[in-house]
Amino acid sequence: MGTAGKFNEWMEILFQQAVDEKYGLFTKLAIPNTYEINSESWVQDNHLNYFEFLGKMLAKVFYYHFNAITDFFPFSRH
Amino acid sequence: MEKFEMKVLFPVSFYKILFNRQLTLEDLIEVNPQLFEDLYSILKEPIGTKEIYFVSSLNAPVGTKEVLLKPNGRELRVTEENKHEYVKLMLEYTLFGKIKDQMINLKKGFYTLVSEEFFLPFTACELEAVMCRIPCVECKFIVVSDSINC
Repeated sequence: MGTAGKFNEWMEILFQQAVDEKYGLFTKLAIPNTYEINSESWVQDNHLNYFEFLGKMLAKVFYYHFNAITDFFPFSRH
Repeated sequence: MEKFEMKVLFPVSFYKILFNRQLTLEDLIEVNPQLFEDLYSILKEPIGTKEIYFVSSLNAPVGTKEVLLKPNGRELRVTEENKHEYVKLMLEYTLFGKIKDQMINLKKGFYTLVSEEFFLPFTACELEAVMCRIPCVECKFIVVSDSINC
């Protein structure tokens, strides 16, 4: 398994944890494996900080997948 | 290219909000099918004697909070003339208004790493496909970029 496998595996674990209903950040929809943001996520302290972090992680997933498809990525800020 | 698909998926409306796209009534099917049916029938059938007002509800830290979709929404009854506005406001509130703070913070994090202008040429479906690595026939973008790789 290369680095891509490790990265994907790590992201997989991270997002599976993030959407876990015990943290109250997301709720499950009727469609399998699909989650929406919980409008009552205030049950979790600092929930807005978690969402900011998840936004950054989504950007990383996007960056990584886009690179894997095209080898061309002009929109990074760093 | 390694075979990988995200096992955690988000509804189309999530990606539309993330990438600043217009929400449509169909986006509601995934999130709240019951409300979709209700709003759809309001659009298709005459209002008649149904008593609907410009209000929605939200579970707050203490009990349920009533949310006005418009100023004075409590007194404003939905009629044939304003039903399109009601459906639009209800749709926006359900998909975005309810989770506004969460979504704003998520977008803040997202756009600190990538810049918004890049996404303009792509549809929400194409961007979702990149995010989740879903093989999607409708996404011409994927096809084009594959041919570049060859």
